[in-house]
Amino acid sequence: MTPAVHQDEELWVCHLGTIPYRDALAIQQDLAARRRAGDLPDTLLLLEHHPVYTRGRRSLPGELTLGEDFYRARGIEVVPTDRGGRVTYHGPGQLVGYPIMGVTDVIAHLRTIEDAIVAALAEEGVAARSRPQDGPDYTGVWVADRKIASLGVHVSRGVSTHGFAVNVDNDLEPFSWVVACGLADVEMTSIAAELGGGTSIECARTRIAASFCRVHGRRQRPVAARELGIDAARVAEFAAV
Amino acid sequence: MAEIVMPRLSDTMEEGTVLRWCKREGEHVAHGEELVEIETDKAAMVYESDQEGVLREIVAHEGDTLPVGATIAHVGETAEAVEAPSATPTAVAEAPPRQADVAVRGTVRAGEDRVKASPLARRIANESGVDLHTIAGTGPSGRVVKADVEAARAAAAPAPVSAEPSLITAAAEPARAEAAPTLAERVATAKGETTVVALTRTQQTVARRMAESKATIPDFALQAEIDMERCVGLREELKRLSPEQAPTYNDMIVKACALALRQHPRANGGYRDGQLQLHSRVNVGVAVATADALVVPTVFDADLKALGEIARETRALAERARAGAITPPELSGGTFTVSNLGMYGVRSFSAIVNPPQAAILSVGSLQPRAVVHESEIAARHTLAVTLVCDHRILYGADAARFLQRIGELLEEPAALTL
Repeated sequence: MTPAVHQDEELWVCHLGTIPYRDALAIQQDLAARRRAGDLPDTLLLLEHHPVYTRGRRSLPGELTLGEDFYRARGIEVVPTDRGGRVTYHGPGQLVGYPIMGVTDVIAHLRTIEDAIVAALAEEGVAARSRPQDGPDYTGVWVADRKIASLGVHVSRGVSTHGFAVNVDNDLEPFSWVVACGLADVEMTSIAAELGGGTSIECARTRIAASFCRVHGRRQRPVAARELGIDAARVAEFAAV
Repeated sequence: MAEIVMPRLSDTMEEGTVLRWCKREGEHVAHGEELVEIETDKAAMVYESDQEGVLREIVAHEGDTLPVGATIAHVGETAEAVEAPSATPTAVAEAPPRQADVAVRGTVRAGEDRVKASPLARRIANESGVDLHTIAGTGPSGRVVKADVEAARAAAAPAPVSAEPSLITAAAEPARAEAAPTLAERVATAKGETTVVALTRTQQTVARRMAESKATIPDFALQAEIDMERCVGLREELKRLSPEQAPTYNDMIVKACALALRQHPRANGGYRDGQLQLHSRVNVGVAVATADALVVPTVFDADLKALGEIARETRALAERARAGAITPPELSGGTFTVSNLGMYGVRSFSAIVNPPQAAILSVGSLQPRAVVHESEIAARHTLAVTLVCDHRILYGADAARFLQRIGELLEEPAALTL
């Protein structure tokens, strides 16, 4: 793949549709390696996942309160990951974002992601906030005491993977089947729940992409998956060699 | 001995949690090598070592949360002499970090008052005869860093070499004195000059997948010796017809595997997350060694292709792989893999299963060997093959029947030409 000529002021944004979690892991590893090599500028992947629970390294067995059989019976797989944070749920209707970016200050990276989501939600008419003063357990984006977006990143050799998930109009039930984010009593919410419906993932996607680029002071450059060498249908096997 | 401390990964970071050590006690760590994964807030970061040496002791274990600047490990010089035998190293592993620190120091420098300094600062101080005790450290926890030593050197009048020894044993001192004052990328060790080369993306992928395969797959291997005399005859005939394009023995093996896979669907399947996946196509991957990597281009629908077609394809794919022109779609979609090291004289070997495939066939060298054929000793061309299988989906008897079928097809190769 020939390296594209890019400008530092751009942030590439790529929509991947709904893809399996493991495929997204493979794509992120590939893009992160290329970002490290300087073949790719900072890139934001926006997508959805089929139902899946993912666990951070510090996740405890007790977080999956109903047992693996329960989740499997409902078609939700459980995948361990190397990102920070604890267990969370991804599913259709939830906007997932993976910024593959050069990161020097990892906590500032988290705060900036929160700021981007708060600003985008404000445009949607949702009064959200971040809670850095409440400690790392409260990292994420909140509406009053309800959690609307979760974060968890991994940084290796200066480049980030994983990122954030914003509940747009997804099913929130599966969150109640685990100790989400390690917080026993957290109530999850979504844009649809806050506004009583009338929102779409496409709308949220557009706002989040724009907001994300704005907080980073970059110009958004939409790129197709094909331009990044991602053929979604083949991705599952792309990780095979 | 140098300290590894909880690094400041962010301006606002106050504490971090050790998630996973990438190195074990006693392992060598190179400067810039991944050493430990640390979590702070909702971010997990891989921290690369700023020291070169042997990871002598892990102070902060997985799951421990420590403030920035607290000691999490000790790294020793590779040329350093072994500490005086004592129970201290094992005792240290159980004791809380503070006590461990003191105990280790006590062993190595009996009675000596050791100054906290970075190895670089220590080296410069040593070479320029500056006494570390006289320097106020401005690094984390009051460590003396290079800048402090440079400042002291600039301020001090030329002084005689300090009689205060540093933490290096007498044996290592001459080597240290010759070392350059700056930390170089290429470090001279007992193994000569070591150059650190980063893995390419493909190499990283191979490394990751091989490790995952070995770590997670309950594999077993079946061996068989196949009489290839008839294949040798077949190849002679095909060479007469088409000297340049005659199918190789590997092509015959690929076709034989493909036909056998069609008859044994589980061997053509895969294991993914507790489920058996059965594929309707038979796509055989052929391992090709390129200059600096291993790739496995796929021959799609190998059971439906004529032997000549397979031969043309494998030749083209191998050329493209070596030229670096192979594309991801050509490397994907395999349901089975054939790996052949016979051309290097390897008699037999066990390849590593290519997940999520059910099995891989390792092919050894084709040679005339002494065998018993029709009750007499004869020289026949034979081939040792090893089928390595994932026992989560392919069990012994099934695998054996599948392997037997491959042997049958190669021993009576007329079927391969259809």
